[in-house]
Amino acid sequence: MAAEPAGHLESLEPLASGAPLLRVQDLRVRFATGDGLVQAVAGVDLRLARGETLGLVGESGSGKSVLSLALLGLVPQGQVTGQIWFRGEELLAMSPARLRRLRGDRIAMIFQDPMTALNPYLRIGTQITEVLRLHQGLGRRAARERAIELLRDAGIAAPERRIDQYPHQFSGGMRQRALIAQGLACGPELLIADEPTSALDVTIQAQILDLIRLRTRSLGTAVILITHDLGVVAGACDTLAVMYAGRIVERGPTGPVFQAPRHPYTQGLIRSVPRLDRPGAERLVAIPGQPPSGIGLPPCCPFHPRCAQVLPICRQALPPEVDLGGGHGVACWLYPEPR
Amino acid sequence: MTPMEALPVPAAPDPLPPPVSPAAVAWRRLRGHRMALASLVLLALYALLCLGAPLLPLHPYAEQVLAHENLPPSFQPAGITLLATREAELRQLLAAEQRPASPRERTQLAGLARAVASDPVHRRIYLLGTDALGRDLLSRLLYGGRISILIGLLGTVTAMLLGVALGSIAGYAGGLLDTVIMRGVDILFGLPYLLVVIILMALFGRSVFNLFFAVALLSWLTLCRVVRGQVIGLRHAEFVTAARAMGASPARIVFRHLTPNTLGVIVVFATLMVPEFIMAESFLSFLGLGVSAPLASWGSLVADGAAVMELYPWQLLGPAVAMTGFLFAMNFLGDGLRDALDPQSRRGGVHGR
Amino acid sequence: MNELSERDPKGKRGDRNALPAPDPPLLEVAGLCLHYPQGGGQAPVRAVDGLELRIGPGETLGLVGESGCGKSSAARAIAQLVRPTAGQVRFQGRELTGLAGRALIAARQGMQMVFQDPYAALDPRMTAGELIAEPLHIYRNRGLLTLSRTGLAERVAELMEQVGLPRALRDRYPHQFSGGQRQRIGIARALAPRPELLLCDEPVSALDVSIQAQILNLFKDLQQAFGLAYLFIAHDLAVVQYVASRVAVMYLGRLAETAAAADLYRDPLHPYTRALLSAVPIPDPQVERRRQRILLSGEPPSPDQLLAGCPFHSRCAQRLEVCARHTPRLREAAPGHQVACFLYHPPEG
Repeated sequence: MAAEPAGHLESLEPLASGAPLLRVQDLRVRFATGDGLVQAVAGVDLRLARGETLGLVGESGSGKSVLSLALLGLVPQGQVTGQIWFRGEELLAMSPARLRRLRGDRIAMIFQDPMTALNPYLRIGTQITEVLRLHQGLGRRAARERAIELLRDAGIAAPERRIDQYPHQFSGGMRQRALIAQGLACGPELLIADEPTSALDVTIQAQILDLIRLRTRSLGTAVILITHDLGVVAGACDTLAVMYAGRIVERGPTGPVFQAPRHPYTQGLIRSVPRLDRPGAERLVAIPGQPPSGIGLPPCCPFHPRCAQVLPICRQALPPEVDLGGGHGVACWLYPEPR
Repeated sequence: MTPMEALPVPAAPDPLPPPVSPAAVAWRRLRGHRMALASLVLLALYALLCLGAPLLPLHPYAEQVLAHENLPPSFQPAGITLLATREAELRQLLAAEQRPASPRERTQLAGLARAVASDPVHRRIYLLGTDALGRDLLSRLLYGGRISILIGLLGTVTAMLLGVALGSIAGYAGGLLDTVIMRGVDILFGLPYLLVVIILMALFGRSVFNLFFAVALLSWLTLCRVVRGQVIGLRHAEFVTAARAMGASPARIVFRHLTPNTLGVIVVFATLMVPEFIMAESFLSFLGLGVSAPLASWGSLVADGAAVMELYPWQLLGPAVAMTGFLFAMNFLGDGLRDALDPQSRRGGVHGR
Repeated sequence: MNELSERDPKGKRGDRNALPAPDPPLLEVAGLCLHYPQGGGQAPVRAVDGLELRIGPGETLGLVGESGCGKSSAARAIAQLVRPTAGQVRFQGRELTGLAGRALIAARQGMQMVFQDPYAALDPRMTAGELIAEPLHIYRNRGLLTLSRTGLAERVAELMEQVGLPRALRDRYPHQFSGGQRQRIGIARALAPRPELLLCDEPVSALDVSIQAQILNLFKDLQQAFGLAYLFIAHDLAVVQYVASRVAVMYLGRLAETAAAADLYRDPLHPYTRALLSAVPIPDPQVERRRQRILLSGEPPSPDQLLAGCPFHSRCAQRLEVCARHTPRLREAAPGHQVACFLYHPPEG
């Protein structure tokens, strides 16, 4: 714990209009496990504008969670290569102290399981005011007032009483609200939400997603929403990026990608999810096989063993990402680079 | 049977990964733990030497050669050491009294030299020296090791059988049976251990069997509690519910499902219990309640050696080092096993979901 | 057979013209209650409170609800893994609640369970082959099945193929399989005693999306091949819609609504069902944009709080005064469509 408050970053330069808030270039993250070297993130490029909500979609082993941790610098340094620019500053080259000042203040993260993301031994209020006092240097009383306000904005009834309660006295949905309150406490410019509703009931999920949308719009916060649920992305995100085996295989504005998915994996995902509004019980088209484990992947398209439209070149070389216009990009040999 | 629709049966992965049991996974992890591996090798050496003692060319451990009392360890035949010692003593005496050797002393020395040359017993080599009755310490060490290790193993096995069985039953059954067993355990825990052992030894005599029985009697208690705790945790695991849903009897569930899944804890415990047993036995021997002569155990050897440690330190050093080495090795092995069997360190942290 | 309607004693079910499950029903549950006592003079937790179901041979009944609604408890109570506090469970014409020991296992042979967590439902120390063969061993030991050693091995190989696992993998241990494959092992295990009914407790919730579809299709294929009936429990409404012919919605231990799947999704009656359906995200941005969400206020009360009246009334936007005082019963509102809500039936008396 830092002895002095990290301080609010007044010293940030204003972002040039049009410049992306976040830019990621060739990010790679590797882990050494007992079974071999795992390439969790294998060369990801990203661009995020102010206030944009990006959905990062993938299944287990896709690398989406590791990517989010890398953006916050929470992955052991030696295994991460590439560049991450936040407001023009290179995150990976930053000193740990400066990174600590960014976290919680300018970049916030909400984790998946509200049950374990809160310290069971501290009151809710303590955990929220911690962020406020650390970054905004508020005194105890001011921080408490602000925390109550934040809880109220997050839709928690009777916040002045709730603030002194312990996490086990909150339900799952309420805990997630508290975490959202904590995450948005300092008005961050970027919020990373890693499967924020996967552990919640669907009616609560709807409430939480609504809450995130409202609060981030009013604050102008950009959001990276990590999820495996295509429905959530369709409803909550402006753009999406589909990850597979540590790579982005397709990206673009939500409408065009859902309307006309190009990558066979995206197509497969969309066709394999049962839809409530299509009761025709047409048979789901399952993608055969299973997602790769990330160990010992050869330098070719990682999806080829499961692809119904595989070409010989898919087994030999990695497809480059091609821009199909309107921000819709796909990395697949079915769409080779225009000569 | 109607043929199934074309559900593509995924081809078996090629090449086929061999079956790898959880035990094999643990063994592979253990191999990476150098201290544990070294300990394993050392323990194998101990086992070989001690348990194979009758096959080794050792001097009989119970044979007393009074002429050879308290000889230091040496590579030279005993006779030569004896002569050298006697000569040195004589020289010291002469130097202190400032006189030459008397004819009687010289005759004695010559007689000794003759005896050394003629009697084959003096050609013995005592690598670790001898004790006060001229018994070879090396063979006493190895034979004593047999007894100590055997006590450790047998005691542990008994404790395991009792502790695992009762702990599993108590943990799974719950209710009255659990209460009865655990209160029994509590009562036994409350008994003054040493007093019980002394009374038992006094009543039933001092034999190796009684010794190990006395120690084993009270040693299964902790294991019982630990296993019970494990079983209570596992009782609600989904594979246990699945077994119940299939109609498995409680006996089957306990012995086929629950106990094997507590093996990790049991094995670690066992490696830590063996040293405990050996220490307990050595403590009893120290008090004079352990094995009776002419048998030896590491504990009794330590006791004997401690009595004369100022004069003949090697008599303590040998058994002490042997015992300590064994205990260290078992403890390190237990450490390594705990890490190897720890499910927390299983791969899967990278992939979230 | 007309015996069914005569045998139906449930006056409160009302309308005899209700479309029953094709008779005779494979599984009939009536008045099922599961109450857990709480210490300290508090009222017991009503995990399941007066559940009634019918499943015919070859039929799939989907049981949906959110966490804490009691659907998993209901499944365990039906299977007699937990003794119900009250109610009857008739399976293949035999009443299960009074049975125990060998008689229960014999009567229950045709009903097997598939569990949610493929990582936890398999004993990590047994091979796939051993896991699948275990029910066969158990039934054989109890004299309910005769099978030679080779017959058993044959059956295991046959089962593995039926669920799409190469039989060469029978010596592998669970940790060597992926989640989807483990679930297949669980399904093969459930199929071993040739059941007529499978109780599936959230069988795809823990799987990746692309694997879910494989397993759902497998369920459908198996049903077609073997005429299996399913009690399919899930919280994902779209999944249930895909596999079930009838759906029952649970809330806090009670049934809110039951109907044919198509009817329920097209015309939900109970306010909770409506809110639930509106909350389910649909993977289509245009549809999502146009949707009107019914956002429920507040949180579901925890099951250990005793609430008078309709369990849903505290969150219902359409609650009436009477909803706080009386508990609605499940009554027919349209052919084959029952709902427990005072908007459709006035309270009796």
